[in-house]
Amino acid sequence: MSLNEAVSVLSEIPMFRKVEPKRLKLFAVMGQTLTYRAGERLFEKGDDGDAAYVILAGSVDVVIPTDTGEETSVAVLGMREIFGEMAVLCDQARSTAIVARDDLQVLRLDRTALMSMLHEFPDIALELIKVLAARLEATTASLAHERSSD
Amino acid sequence: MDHRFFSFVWRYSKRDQLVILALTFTSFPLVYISLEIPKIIINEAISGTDFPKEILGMEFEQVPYLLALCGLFLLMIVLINGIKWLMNVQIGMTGERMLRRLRFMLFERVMRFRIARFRTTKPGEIIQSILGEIEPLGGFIGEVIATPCFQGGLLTVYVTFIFVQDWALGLAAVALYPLQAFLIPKLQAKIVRLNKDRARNTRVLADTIGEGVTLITEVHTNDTARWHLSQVAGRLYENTVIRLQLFKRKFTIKFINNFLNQLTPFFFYSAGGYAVIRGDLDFGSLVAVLAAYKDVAAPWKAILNYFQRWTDFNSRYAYVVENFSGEDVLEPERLYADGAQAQPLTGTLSFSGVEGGAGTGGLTITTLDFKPGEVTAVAGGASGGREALLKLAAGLQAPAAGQVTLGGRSLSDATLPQVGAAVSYIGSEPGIISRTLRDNLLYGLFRGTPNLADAEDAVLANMLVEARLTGNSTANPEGDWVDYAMAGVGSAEELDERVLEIVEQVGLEHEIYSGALDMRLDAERAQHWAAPVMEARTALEANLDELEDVIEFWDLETYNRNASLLENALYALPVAGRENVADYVQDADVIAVLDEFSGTETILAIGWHIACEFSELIEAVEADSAVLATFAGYSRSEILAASELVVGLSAQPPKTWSADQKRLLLSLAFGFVQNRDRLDVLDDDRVREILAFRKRAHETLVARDDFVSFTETRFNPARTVAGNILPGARRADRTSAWKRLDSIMEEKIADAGLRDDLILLGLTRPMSASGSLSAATKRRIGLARAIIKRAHLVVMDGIASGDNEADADLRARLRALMPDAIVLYAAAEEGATAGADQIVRIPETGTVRVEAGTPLDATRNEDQPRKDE
Repeated sequence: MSLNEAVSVLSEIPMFRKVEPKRLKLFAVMGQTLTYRAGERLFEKGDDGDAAYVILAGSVDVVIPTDTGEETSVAVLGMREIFGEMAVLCDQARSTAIVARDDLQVLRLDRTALMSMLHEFPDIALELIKVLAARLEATTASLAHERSSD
Repeated sequence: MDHRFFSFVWRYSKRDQLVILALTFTSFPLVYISLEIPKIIINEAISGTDFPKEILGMEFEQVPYLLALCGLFLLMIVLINGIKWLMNVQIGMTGERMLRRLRFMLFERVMRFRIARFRTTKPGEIIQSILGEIEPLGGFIGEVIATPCFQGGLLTVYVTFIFVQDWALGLAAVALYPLQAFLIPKLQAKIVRLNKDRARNTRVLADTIGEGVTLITEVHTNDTARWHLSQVAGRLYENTVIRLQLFKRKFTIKFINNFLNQLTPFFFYSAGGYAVIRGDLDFGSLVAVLAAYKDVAAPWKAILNYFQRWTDFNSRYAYVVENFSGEDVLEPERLYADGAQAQPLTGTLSFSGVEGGAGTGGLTITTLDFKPGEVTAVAGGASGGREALLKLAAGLQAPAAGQVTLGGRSLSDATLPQVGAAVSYIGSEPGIISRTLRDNLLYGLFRGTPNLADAEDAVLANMLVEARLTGNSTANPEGDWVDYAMAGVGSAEELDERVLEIVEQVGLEHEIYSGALDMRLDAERAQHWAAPVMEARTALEANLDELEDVIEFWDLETYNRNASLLENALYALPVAGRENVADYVQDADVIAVLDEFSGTETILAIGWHIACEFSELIEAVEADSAVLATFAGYSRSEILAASELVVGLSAQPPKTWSADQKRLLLSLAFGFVQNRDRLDVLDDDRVREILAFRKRAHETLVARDDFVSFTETRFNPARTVAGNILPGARRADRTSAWKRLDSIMEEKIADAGLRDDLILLGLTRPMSASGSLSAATKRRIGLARAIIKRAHLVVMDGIASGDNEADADLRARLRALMPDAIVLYAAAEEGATAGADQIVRIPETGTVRVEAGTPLDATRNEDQPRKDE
């Protein structure tokens, strides 16, 4: 995938919508465009959180192990979704594994790239906070829902 | 070691000093003759009348006589300057050799320091003492005797001359000398003190700087760069303050000297003039005395100057030497022991009545024995007891009370050869020397001491002569230091086999192997590799389907988007290797090929396009942005240079670009890998142009010996081993599958019979001392060192200490590899004590307890590795 194609995918992501294309191109250059085949694993639960990913094409399963030792998919992420940023921001190990569902293309931003990006472009940091806040709200809501249905 | 500067100089350089003195006095009569000849030329040759003159039985007319005298004059000048040259070299070399001797002596002292001394001695201080502080001594040592003799001689002659003319004027000439001799040492004493302060402060400064460098992780994680800067600034300020004081005193002395020296003529004019007027002294004598006095001033000044330097260097020498002396410097015999005193200690390791002392958590051991062949787990003692016990066992720490003995010999009193050959200590981060990995593994065997006298080489012979002149080590630093007998092998080949076996056992193999894939072979060794590597490549090519997902294969008809632009254009690489593809811009052959087949213009245009893209990207950030350092293919400085170039050149046509500018653009283009860098600079037209160039140049390049085309099955030493084996370029977007590719390559290489060679190649990889090695790898290297040197006692603190399969496995392997050794290891968890013959428990208070363990043989089951595995 060329840089300009990657930039056009990025520009449709809500988090980056307000970022000027010149900067988006910079992020695309800072990252690596990687390809995975169906079933290949991007990282395992417990791995170091060394990079965040943006899906440029394809989709992934978010996978956690079950009590029986098998795995189950708890979510599916598709094009233009971002994942892996929590472990990078909080310097934690991966809380889930990620498996490619089909032919997958991602933009991988390693810790240094992501951190310098957030440092130098506060508007992106702000957008990222919004994404995280929305996610937190969703989690809280689903927890509340589970509690009330118990 | 001499504590007085003069005894040091006299003891080791009296012969040289006397030669310098002899040369000095030889020049005196020649100087006299050279002063005499001009007088004869003027009085007798030019103004003379009485010709012909006779010299040595030959008669000369006026002109030949003049020319003969001038020839003699010229000869004197040549002789005098020749002697001066000899003298200067002699003075310089004497100083340099003495400096070398002193430095070596000081460092030898460092090697003899007891371990405890290093707790208070900082590396920065030692380096500053050995290098900086004594450097000025070198220039002075050669003149220590010659200068006072020479200048003193001159002074005596001139003063005597004045006394002969008139005793009163003679007295006047030296009247102020006693005053100077009284005043100056007083002022000088203060200067000496200040010099000492300055040296002390510079040592601390050296250490403060060293601290900032070694603590760089802490600096970055605590944001203390400004604090460290201010510490250094504080020390620099101290230096300035001391220097100001020094200047004031130094120039006061100079002022007094100058003043007193010029005061003497005052007496000559007043008292002498009065005497002439009264008729007590004739006018000619006064003029002669005045002229002589002018000549006196120079040597007197030189002597005063000499005295100042003398006192300064004396104290400097004493101050440095004092820093390397003391009770805790081992006797030389402990370092250079030979015969029985160098035999490795063997037998039981015993602690009796040992108290660890401060910082050991109150470690107390009544009696404790570790027998050969036994593995002991040391548990507990987290507050320092465990670490102390292990260090005591390795002789790295002396007990506050009691004794630690190995085979009945106290470890604190044994010689270094005895301990070093018997004991291995593997701490949390074993030291790595800046040599190859192989040297690091064999470090424990570096006891061979190859003598320079055995070498036939002329350079080494000269090295030996110099070493003898300076009391330095006569061992050959680059010789074969390996003590093969210690490793139980007879030759380097046998040792290699053993090393291969051991790196596999300690789990270093994979690391070495993958490092080797990215190394280049020198042309000499490449001969031996060529056939098997090509065999491995053919084998790889047989499974193309399997590889297609990871590699983009070479194809003469298509552009390879995972390879660099230069590789695509040439479809070949020169045999002369470069570190990076971009560096081929320095290769005249490559540039010539581009010109010859008209490819330069296209590639320049692509380079220009890349530079424009960079300049556009840079507009989005600050110039010092960290973002710029995160590009995979280009460095920050390349990006900045490229965008500067664009700004500078945008209005100018390509014809006006300078060679340097073109080189930069070409280098940007050469290294461009489409799928990695992803800039849109290669449209279909450009790809077609590159492929057309490839076609034009191909036939010629295939025929050339200094290029290897990708269509040839020839080994190219310019490429890495992996580069030679792969029939294409790794796909930049498939990094996740590269590991699989590595194991495929490993398999094919093993099939081609190159596996051991590859590891041996990996062993030649240079390590830098601070290095990129992980602590775990360093510990494995430390363990391999212990096994290779067949240590009798292995102490491990931080490796194989855990309660997990890998560590238990490593302990089992160690026992199998070294069945007769005493092994002590720190057990980080209770479970890690399993398999030990003996468990030593260190309580928080009270005496250390010993209990029997569950030896490995009792717990061994089918899953555990055996020696023969």
